[in-house]
Amino acid sequence: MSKNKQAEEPFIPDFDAVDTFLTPWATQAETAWNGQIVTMGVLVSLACGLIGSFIVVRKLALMGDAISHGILPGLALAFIIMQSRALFPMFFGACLAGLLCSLCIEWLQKKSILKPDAALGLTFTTFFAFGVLLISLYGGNAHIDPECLLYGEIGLIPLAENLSIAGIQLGSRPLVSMLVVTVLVIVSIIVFYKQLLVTSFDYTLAKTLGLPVTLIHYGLMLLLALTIVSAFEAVGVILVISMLIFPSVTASFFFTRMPAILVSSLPLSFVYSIGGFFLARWLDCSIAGAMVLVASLCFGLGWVFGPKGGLTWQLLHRLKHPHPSIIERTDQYPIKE
Amino acid sequence: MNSFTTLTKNFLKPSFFSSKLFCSIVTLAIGGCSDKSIEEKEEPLVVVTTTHLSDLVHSLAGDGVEILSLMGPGVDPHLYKPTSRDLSSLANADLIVFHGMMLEGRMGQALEQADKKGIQSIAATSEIPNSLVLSDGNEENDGHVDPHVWFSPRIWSLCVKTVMKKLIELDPQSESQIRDKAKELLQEIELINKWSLAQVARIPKDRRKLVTSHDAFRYLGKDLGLKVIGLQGMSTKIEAGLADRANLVDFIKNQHIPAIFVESSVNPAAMHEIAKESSVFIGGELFSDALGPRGESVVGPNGQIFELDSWGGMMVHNVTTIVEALGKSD
Repeated sequence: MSKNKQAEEPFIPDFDAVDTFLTPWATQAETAWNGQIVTMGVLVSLACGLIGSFIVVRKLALMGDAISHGILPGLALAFIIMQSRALFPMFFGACLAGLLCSLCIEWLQKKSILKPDAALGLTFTTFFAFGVLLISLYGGNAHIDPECLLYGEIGLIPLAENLSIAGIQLGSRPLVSMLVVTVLVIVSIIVFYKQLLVTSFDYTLAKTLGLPVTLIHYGLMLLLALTIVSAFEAVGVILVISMLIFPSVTASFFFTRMPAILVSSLPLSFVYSIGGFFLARWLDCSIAGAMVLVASLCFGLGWVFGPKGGLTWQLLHRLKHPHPSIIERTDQYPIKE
Repeated sequence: MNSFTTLTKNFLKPSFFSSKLFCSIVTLAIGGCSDKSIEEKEEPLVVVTTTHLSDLVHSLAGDGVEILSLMGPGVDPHLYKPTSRDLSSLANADLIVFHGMMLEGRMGQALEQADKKGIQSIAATSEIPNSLVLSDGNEENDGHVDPHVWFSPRIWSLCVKTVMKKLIELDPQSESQIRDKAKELLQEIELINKWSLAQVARIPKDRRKLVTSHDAFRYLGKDLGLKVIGLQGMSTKIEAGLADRANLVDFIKNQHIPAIFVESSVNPAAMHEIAKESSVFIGGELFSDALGPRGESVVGPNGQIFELDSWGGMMVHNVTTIVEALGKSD
């Protein structure tokens, strides 16, 4: 018989532990399917979280937002030139446009009196508008619909085409490319850790030390663009942007030193991905949305109970030191080298 | 809330130990051995996307298969987003029947890949010859085709045959039953086709104009000889601009159109405003991208009763509503 799922469901469905936690793994097909979704979630949160830690320290939290919109003209141009939706040109075009977008933002900030946020907003909307214009003028039957680009669906990962190199089936294409990018991010951070750290925290010191500050900045932007491009088409922009910001900000309520914050993005990405998956299962809603909600919950917990500048901590601190002049100012960004 | 109590309760229930879940836990614990051997095989699970397909598969296979419809009545397929459980059900499906022609948007694109992934799937519209398909009639022909083919009895019959073949492949033992049911269904479609033509003939020629929320009815219009005007384009994604509205109001006034129609799966607010501005009445609600609710029925050709959640009921309801509203003499 046909089942209609619209039949009077309560707004928040009853919580059924067996159905939520165990049914998704009941058959091998389901285990493989849902396993891919959770793995993708972990990879995206991890890669974004690691890159994001540096981005947030540089006060460029919304750079991810900017780049993810700024890549549209790159995609459009790649399509118009190649007349196909071949993967590599699209990927290349997107990365190039993303990088160009971040260059423009940087340049505007330096060469004009604009505030950083204004420069950012100005640049990426221009890029996005240019992309929309290109698509509507020359896109023809591009089937590139800006909305499709901005809202990927992580749940459809298992249906994505398989990537095979030299006849060996490697698995779902977005999953494999995300894995490659995640490894690349981890390796780059390990190799260039010192340089990234100094340029992020102390620009002047980095200059006096003779570090190629600009080069390092663009390297980071390139890595950011790569991460965003390989993640967003599969999982949607909102998930990418939030995963750039949430892990490091949440971790900063528990740790103040950069290495600890970087390492804690690993457990956090597991919590986000698995928690989000089960929340989506329970509420029967979008998985990406549920993942971001779990990330917000973790942030809320950290903010209230976190030992480093959390609300409870501040309250206790105030009780111990009732004289207002002794209260430590916490308006500086809490992460230290 | 009481997750633990539920969990323990379920553990204590004797049925738990025979359930699929327990089997799968055991399987996981033992590792390796196939799940399917333990689990008793039920009817095959067919996951369908739209209500039209749910009805189609149900008419063909009856209770021989379990049908799971992703989109319920009143859900707009252009805007549908799959939920977590919907996606899980795709993993378990023995067959996925989807509409194709970009009706399901991004999900349709993904479902086209399902075959390569070893999941049986079929686009119901995959065997329609290009000559029968209408392309987007708007000025900027962007290569999209009009996916609303279920309004054409002739084309829908082709879809019936496509799905029939796939269902026989899935369950070869019930081939004769499925073929019989398909025959009945095709006869019903033909009956409704003739009846609809006779009904529309009752509307005076100059009034055969159908104004609706979005461009879904072009196949219906083509088959029945109605001129069709939609406020929004073919996809409901893009809201109508102000100019579209003003043009439509002018059109309704100039052409002396007696009534306009709202759709069950599109927000009717804009059409109500247009009706007010151009002082025409709303002729009723048509079923466009989803079938009607369950449990309601309508009287069709030869006094036959049709359920609104079936293809026949949808056609009879739409034609009756259109004929009543447009055929009324002032």
